[in-house]
Amino acid sequence: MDSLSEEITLLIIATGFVTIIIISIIIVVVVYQRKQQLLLKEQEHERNLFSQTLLQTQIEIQEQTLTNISQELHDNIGQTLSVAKLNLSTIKMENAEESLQKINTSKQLITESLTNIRDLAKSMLGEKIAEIGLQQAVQNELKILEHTGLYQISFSTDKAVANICAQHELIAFRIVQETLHNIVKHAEATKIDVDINNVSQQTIITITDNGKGFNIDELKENSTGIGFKNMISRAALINAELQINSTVLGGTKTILLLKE
Amino acid sequence: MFTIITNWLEPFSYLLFFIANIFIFNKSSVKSMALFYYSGIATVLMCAASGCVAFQLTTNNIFFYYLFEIATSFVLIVIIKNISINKTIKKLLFFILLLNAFYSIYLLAIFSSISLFNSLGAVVISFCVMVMTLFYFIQKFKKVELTKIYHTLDFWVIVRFFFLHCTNFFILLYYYYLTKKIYPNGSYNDAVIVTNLWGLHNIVLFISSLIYMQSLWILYQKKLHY
Repeated sequence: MDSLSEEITLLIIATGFVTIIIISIIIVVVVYQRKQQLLLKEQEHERNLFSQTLLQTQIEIQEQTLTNISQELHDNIGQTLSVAKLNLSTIKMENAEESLQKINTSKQLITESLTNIRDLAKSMLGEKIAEIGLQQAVQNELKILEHTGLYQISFSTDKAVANICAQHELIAFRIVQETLHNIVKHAEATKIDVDINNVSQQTIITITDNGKGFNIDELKENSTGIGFKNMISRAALINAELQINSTVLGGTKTILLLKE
Repeated sequence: MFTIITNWLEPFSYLLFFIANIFIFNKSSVKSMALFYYSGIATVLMCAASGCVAFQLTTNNIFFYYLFEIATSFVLIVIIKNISINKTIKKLLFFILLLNAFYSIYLLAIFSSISLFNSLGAVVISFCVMVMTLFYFIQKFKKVELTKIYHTLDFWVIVRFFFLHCTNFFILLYYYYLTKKIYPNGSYNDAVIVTNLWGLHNIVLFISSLIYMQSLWILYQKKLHY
């Protein structure tokens, strides 16, 4: 009798134990699935954020390109053509030698304008980074700055750069564009160096200026540093690293590390 | 029926386990190969152990169980090596399992002088499986993947071992206590409970093998991750 009751107790305990194990496994699976759903939602959110940023970047690049074109047309090509027109309208047929000189000057000015228009057309391709590549797009951007005559530009690049997808290149280009825009707007620099290199499957873009620099900690704390925060969040979105080193009156060095 | 449960259910369960591993047999996967050979060896050993008792070839079949424990220790080392768990825990489990394998070799050497199965080695194996399971799930929860957890071989291998060894841990611990008690001065009731405990262990083994076979059949049908 004792043996029978012990057997039953044993059986009940064992059944209860097995049931607990099965329930535990089911709970683990259910909790894991919930975590998976959360992960899926997070990934979906990240994808949406990336698409939005990509769209915003494209719009900003277009806006920046149009601003550059408008400035170039007004400040450079417009002025050159006006001088050419002035030259041509003041030609006096009586004085053949002077007229010939004026015609030659006008010809030179028109040729210069044509070159500028060609460069401008190339800069419009900056939007099509996938076609021309990041290096060419950056170079075109620098040419526009060079035409202003306000900056001494130097550009160097490796032939082989890391294999980066077109969407990431677009965002990287926008970060470079934003950096250059900040130099023009705030730095009061006279010299800009841009270097694009490939080191151990990483493309490193270094932008250095000799401007007045700034206190980076102040900028981080200041609410006006939205552009700066934008650049950092965009870099993070493409798995890149953005380092900005600056000291007051000591210029600024911006390094963008792009991983393959 | 009772004889079937206490004697023949064990080799039959290992046969099911072996059949399940045929579904996932993959020469390029160390884990799959280890499971295949382990289940094959386990089936042969358990058939031999049950056959010895059924056909009264010998009264002492614990030789086969110690061999089985050595095989289990080694297959667990392979499984632990191939699943993602904490490296320190991995090393600790390797050490315990290796120690346990040597202990089983020692028991194998002196088996003729002992008439009752020493289940301490099996308890240690069960403990290792529980630790392995715990850290496997911790790791899984730390790094959630998009693949459904029950669509992976690792999960079902872990579930099978956990289900069996979590129950075994307590059954065999009690078994160990009873055999130590019986050996010097046990009663008839204790001997009955020892046999019943073994029957219970066999039932759990059978259920775990059934679950394992069913799940691996589904994985095989759906051509999922194994």
